[in-house]
Amino acid sequence: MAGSYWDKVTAQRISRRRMLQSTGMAGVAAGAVALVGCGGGSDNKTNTPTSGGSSPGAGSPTKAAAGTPKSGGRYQVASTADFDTFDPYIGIAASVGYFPRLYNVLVNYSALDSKFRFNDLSTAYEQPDETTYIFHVRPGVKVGPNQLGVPERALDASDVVESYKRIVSLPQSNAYGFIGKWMASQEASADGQTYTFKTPKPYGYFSNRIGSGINTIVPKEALSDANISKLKQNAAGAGAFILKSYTEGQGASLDKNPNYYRKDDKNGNAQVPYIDGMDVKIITDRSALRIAFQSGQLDTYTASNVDESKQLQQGSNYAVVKDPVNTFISVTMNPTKDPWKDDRIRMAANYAMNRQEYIDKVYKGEAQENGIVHWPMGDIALQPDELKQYQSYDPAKAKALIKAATGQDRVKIKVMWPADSAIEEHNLILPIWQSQMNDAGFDVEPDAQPFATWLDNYTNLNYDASLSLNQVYEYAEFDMDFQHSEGPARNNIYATGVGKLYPEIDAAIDDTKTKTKHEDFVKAMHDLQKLIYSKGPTFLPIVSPYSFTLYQPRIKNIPQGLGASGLFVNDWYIDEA
Amino acid sequence: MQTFILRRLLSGFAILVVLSVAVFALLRIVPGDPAIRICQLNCRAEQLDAIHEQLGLNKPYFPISVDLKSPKFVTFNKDSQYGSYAKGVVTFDLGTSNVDHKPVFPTLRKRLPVTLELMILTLIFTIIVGIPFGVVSAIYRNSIPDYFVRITAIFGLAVPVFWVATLVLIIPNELWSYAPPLGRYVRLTDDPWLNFKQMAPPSAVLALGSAAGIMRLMRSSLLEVLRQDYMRTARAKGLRERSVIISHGLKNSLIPVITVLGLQIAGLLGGALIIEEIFTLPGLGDYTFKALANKDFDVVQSMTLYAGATVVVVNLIVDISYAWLDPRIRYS
Amino acid sequence: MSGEIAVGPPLIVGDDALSLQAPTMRQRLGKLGTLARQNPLGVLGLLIIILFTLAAIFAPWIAPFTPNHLSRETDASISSAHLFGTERVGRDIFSRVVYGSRISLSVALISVVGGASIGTLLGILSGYAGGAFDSLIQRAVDTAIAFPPLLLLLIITLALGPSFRTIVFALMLAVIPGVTRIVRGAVLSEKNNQYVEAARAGGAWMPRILLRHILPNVVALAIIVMTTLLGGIILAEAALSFLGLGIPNAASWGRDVSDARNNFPYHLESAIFPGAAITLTVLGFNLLGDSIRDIADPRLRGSR
Repeated sequence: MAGSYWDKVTAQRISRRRMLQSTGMAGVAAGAVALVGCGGGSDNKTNTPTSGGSSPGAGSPTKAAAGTPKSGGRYQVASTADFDTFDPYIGIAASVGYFPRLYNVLVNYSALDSKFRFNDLSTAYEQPDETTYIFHVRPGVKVGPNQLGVPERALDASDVVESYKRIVSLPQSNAYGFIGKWMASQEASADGQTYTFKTPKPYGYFSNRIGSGINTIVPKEALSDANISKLKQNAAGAGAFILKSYTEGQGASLDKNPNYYRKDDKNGNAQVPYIDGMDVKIITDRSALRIAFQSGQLDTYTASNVDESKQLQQGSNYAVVKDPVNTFISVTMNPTKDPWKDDRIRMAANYAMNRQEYIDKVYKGEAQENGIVHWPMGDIALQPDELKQYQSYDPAKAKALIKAATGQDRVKIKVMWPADSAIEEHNLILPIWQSQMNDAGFDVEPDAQPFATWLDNYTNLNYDASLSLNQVYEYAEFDMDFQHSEGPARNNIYATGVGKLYPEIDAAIDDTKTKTKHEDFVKAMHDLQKLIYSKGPTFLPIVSPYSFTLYQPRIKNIPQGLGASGLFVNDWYIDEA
Repeated sequence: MQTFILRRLLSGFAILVVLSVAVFALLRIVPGDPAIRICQLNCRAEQLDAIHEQLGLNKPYFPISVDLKSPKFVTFNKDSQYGSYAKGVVTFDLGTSNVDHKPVFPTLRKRLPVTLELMILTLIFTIIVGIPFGVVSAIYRNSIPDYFVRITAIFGLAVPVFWVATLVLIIPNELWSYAPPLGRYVRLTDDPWLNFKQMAPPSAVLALGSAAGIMRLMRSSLLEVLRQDYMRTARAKGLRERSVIISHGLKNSLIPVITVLGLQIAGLLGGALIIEEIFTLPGLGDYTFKALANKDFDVVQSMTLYAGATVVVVNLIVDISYAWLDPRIRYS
Repeated sequence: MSGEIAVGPPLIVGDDALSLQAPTMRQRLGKLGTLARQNPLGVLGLLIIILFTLAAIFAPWIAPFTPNHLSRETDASISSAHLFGTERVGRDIFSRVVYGSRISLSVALISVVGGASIGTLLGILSGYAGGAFDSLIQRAVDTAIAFPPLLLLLIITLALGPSFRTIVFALMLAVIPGVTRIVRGAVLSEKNNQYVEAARAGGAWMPRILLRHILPNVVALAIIVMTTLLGGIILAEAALSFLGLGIPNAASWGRDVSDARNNFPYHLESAIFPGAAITLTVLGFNLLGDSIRDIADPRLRGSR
């Protein structure tokens, strides 16, 4: 299984070949966007209960609205990486976050609020059996003006078919991990109004995966042989925005799509988006991002912690949106190497970590402890009271386990990490982690490597243990697949899983994926986590924080609680007053 | 003169060849397979092979390979990675980025103006600050202005560029919420004032060290010249001190200053790596920097070549300018 | 004059100024006192260097904490417990500055002494031997000089991985070409000196001439060049650390500036002190280097 997340995650790491480029959570937010991006339209949301977790901590998507929306103005935003291509199936860098704006998806789910569903190209879908999904295509989703010669016509089911066909033909594409692997067949009805998607077997993550912003629908004319190479610098879609210009290394300008299908019925059927467009600058440096925001060059900025957010608010009336973030720094242990072969040593590393110290020092209290599944996943993750049985800060227990496993008081471990990371969290967690491990009887032999070297070793399991860069997973599927013997993509890349030692874990992971009923799914996931704790997990996401996204006061109508809401601005408007 | 230029061009070419071979070899030491970065999570053995084939990574590195263990010792490879790269360079095909799959040459052309402007502004700052203050310092030797210039210069040489750049961005922002335009290059032709606001701070910071060096050099060089016999003669002829200094002293004392300005180019190109990152200027420094971290072979190679070529050409210009500054110098 | 000078050293070294006499101990001490009085800035530079050297040697006794010790207070300001305050995760900035001097000074000293020795050797051989060997070395130097030093350092550290050894090696490579060039120039000018020519005409054995007449002057020159290079090398190491490619896990001033810059909210103490430490050390070496050069050749007072 793989795909989207993974590619995006890797893309982010790449975009963060960091060093100076201190993306930190800003980068994370940009990644999350691809999945939440299409949220936004709160008046278009349907509160359909669906499978997936609830949303701890996240408020319901309410408008922080006041006054009547006004049209006009341009939204200023920054991307932490350059756009590589506007071909949505090949793009991995910053452009990913903008594809849902330029193109459409069938449906979109918020990664943080599973009850939030945004019906885009499909008005609804039904599921006659466990492996069949029928989507009803919305009429009048009209392609915007473009330079590719694509007619300004309404999309239909055949565009979905052609788009997904292309994904299947591109194994390196973002969306391949889902469409390429979980699509048994697809079909457009003759009238183009219904689209049928079949999975080879029941798949519990279907709604999450289909709702990802990377399964974009491109008008089929844009996918013609003549046009396809032009998609690098150009775009033609029926999304809320059209691509006006792109300058390499510097940014892109998006204008609103005059043909966009959505109208705001609460405001006299006004055409959305309200803003005339947005200018995306490329600012890779985190310090520069903040400076650009403070000096009014950007409309939004994601603070790195609550303290910074508070400090920035002094004397300014920025709007602040607090969201849980699907990001974490993880400890990865190689179960094929000593001393990590021994489950007692793995559990000792688990008990050695005082997660509260990271929460206090790195995130200033605004974070929560992760089990094997990170907490923003909601009820899929083990709840705090239960989690206590499997992991707690207990250096004495860690020492006892080390003694039992090795006969010695201390054990030597070699740990690699990317040396040239300027990701703030990573640099802050690193010294604390080393100090905690040391206190619990581990002698850490540091093996800091240049980012490129680290990534290669990390992908190829060429290490003893690693303190990795931050990763962003919107589904628990990836947390679990990391424990699988063949790695999350089942191709022996990142294959650090404890399943290498215990085949029953591999089987249990596969089994959870077939649970399409939410209660069954949650139970299976809890049982699986407990099973993994009994065997000693090899992949521990440490803590996941809240993000604090600030907006200039002129930005109104900001949707709340959807995560990375900063990038989808259909209903936003700008009021200079 | 022509033979001199020709000779220097030839040796410059040789330098670039050696440089490119060295960088080519160094990059191959960096561990890791660039193919993995392309197919990422979906990598399977067949895909990796296909990518290797496509990128030419399965070809031998150099046209000549030496293997002490084989009986032949030396093998000539008709088709090698370096060979095809070099062939491309001749036709302005500088290869393709492994990361964004865009050809290098067009990107270089798009980004060059940013770095060029940064370099030119830095040189202007260096010259308009370095030379006059150096002259004043020499003429009013051991006076208050002299001490001031010298102390400033010695600090200018001691402060780390990245530190000053950081403070230059942070402090005005904290105090007055002011920052130069970040993230998108404003062309000089589009908006000269905005362009100046964007480019002046990074250039000034980058010029700090070089201006300090030029100041000190100008001072000592002028002092040296002022002691020369011909200066005494000029004064004896009854010329005014100011015209003595300007017509005789300044011109002669500029020779070492120009040499050093030429030598500083290499350092400034290096400094651009840091400055462009901190001030988020989309120039070649930024491009190189990101390519380095990504092990983006073709980009790093081409950027090294570009930097080397710049240095070679600048030094040639410096040499030629000697003839103008000091007619006694003849090239053979 | 040939075009060779174009890439030649900006340093102008007198023919006679460096020749060494053999004064008595007392004369020497007396001379030192006079020198110190004449070069107050040089003395200041020396004092700064001595201060940082002592800090480096006695770091465990001077610093109240180890560089990676995490105290409870984070982002603390200046206090008696934490002289320079603490940074984001509670590491004591004063202790890190003290320990940081170890990295800065040891990296700079080893790479400059090593690089300058190799460079001197190459310069002597090149200048003395002339011919094909000379051309070879000079072309190699040309190539190295055409390479932006920071780019070279980055490529090498990325290729070999950041470690103490790699960084010293890379910095050495950056030192060698310049020293080679300067020393070669000096050897060439010595070679044409009248006394050398006289000795040669008198049938003296060339290596003997090299040892007796040329080497002493060249070594004195090399020492001067070394002092002037130290400041630059400290800056280079700091820049590498700033970019995250310094010695991993070590307290390094460049890295601390970079962390301070990336860590929000800004905490001025953590940005100012490591940066100031770099500036001061470099200043110390530059002042000392200037003075030594002034003493060696008074005509060059204040030159580069």
